[in-house]
Amino acid sequence: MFDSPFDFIFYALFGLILAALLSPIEALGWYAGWFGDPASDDDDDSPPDDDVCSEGTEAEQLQTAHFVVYLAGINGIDNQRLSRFEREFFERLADEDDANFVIVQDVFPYALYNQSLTGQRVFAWFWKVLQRWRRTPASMLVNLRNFFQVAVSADSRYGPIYNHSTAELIVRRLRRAGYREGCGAPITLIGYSGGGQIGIGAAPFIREALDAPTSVISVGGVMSSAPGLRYLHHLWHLQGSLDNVHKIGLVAFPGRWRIFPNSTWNIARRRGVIEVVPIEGIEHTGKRGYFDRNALDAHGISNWDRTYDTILDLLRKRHSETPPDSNEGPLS
Amino acid sequence: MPTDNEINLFFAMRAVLSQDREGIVRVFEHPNTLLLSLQVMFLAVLSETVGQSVVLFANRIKFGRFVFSLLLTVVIYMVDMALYTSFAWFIGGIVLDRQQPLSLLFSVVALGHTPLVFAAFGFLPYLGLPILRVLRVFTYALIVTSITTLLDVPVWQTFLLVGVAYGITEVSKSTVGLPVVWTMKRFRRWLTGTDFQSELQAILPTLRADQEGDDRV
Repeated sequence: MFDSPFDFIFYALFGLILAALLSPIEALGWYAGWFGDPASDDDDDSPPDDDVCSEGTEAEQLQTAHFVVYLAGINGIDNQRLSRFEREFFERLADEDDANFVIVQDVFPYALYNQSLTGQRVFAWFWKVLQRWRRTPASMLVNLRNFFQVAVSADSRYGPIYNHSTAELIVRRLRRAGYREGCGAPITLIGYSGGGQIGIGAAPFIREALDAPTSVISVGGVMSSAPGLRYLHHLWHLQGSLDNVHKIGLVAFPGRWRIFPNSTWNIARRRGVIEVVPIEGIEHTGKRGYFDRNALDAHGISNWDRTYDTILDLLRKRHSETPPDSNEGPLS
Repeated sequence: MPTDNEINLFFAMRAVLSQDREGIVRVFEHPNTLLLSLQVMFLAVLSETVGQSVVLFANRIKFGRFVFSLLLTVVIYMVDMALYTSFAWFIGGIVLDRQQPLSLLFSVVALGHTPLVFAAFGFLPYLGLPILRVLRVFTYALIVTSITTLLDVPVWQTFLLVGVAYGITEVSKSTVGLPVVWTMKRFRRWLTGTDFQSELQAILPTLRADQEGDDRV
């Protein structure tokens, strides 16, 4: 098929650039009304079975309900296929007794309206083939495709459109999970890898739509100096000492460089809105990754448990910060 | 030496980008230099318009009208550039006493747009903006050095010429040229089917707090 390795490299580069060029089309076309309202599993706008915010007195609601939205990493193909460890993570979180964590984990943050890559798309056949090859290097193409969407979210031109649409999706999911506008229950987005960027992009729109204090926990997130950081209640950035992927954000986004002290990121960092939470001996993904149950530290505690405990501590901390008579965070 | 038949759009672009003096001279000796340079400029401006087409998307222009909007943007730019070059030619002749055929000056300016042929890469997420900026700087530098060479004047005089011509173009567009500008706007509105807004920041989704100037951090 290819006469020489250079042919292969040429076609691969050509494909890569073409894919990158086409990546903003979905969000822009949606905004321009080219695609209508994409058919998806998110079309059901029926009222929630359980209005969590309306139970009990206002003070009781605020003391208990805490909405947690999970934005998965860039290896996802739809909103259903979380890894076993990720699913267990949120099942356990939902079972915690001391706070009423309402978990929303069926958001696919790399497509509009939760439309899976294998859904009603022109290239759905291609992603279906890749789905069968998930355990081969070809599956990296899914990562690449979703990584381009992270770049769209970080772009100053496309970002507002993309992040607005993602926020709309999350707001619909939150409403379905029982969130009532203005009830003041805290919302925390947990963004793993590229999900961190999507989280800080969407959070200010969510905050505005629901009049809710919104925080982000980034798990090895690749994040830019997004303008949305100005409206975050808090951003905790979990950073594994062996995680090199999150460093992409450090290098690729000049707003995060220390030599620009007036960038949104650096101002937020100085004011304590951004807090880095280091975790020793954890890599970005796979074995020794944040969600690995088999990798143990010197005390015999798994990476999964350490990540879980860290996030739970942060959620509890966040929860205790919310005064019962106010829905505003420290920076609001 | 290439024959006249071998000198085409791609030859001209290659010669300009590689700064091949011999090739550039051959392009200007070609009987259809103006047509050739107009083709280059059309391609370059079309590419730049594609690179910046987020403005069209943000204006929510329907799919069917999109291509026409792209073409109209290109035509408006080229008319603008023709006006601008005419003023530069006039000032160059009167003030600097450097007479060159108007068509030659226009060809120089048009060929100077060659780097923008790659401006469609400005559509790339995140990397697109810096790419566009670099290409524009390259283009401006190319136009200024080409005019300097053509008119045989110091660079500062070229800057002055370019600056004054730009100023006159803008003033004329808001005075005597106002009816034309107004007609163009009406036409664009009709073509796009929207109340077209060219300032991207004014049409992107924003937070209420941003509109109220509420900067929390």
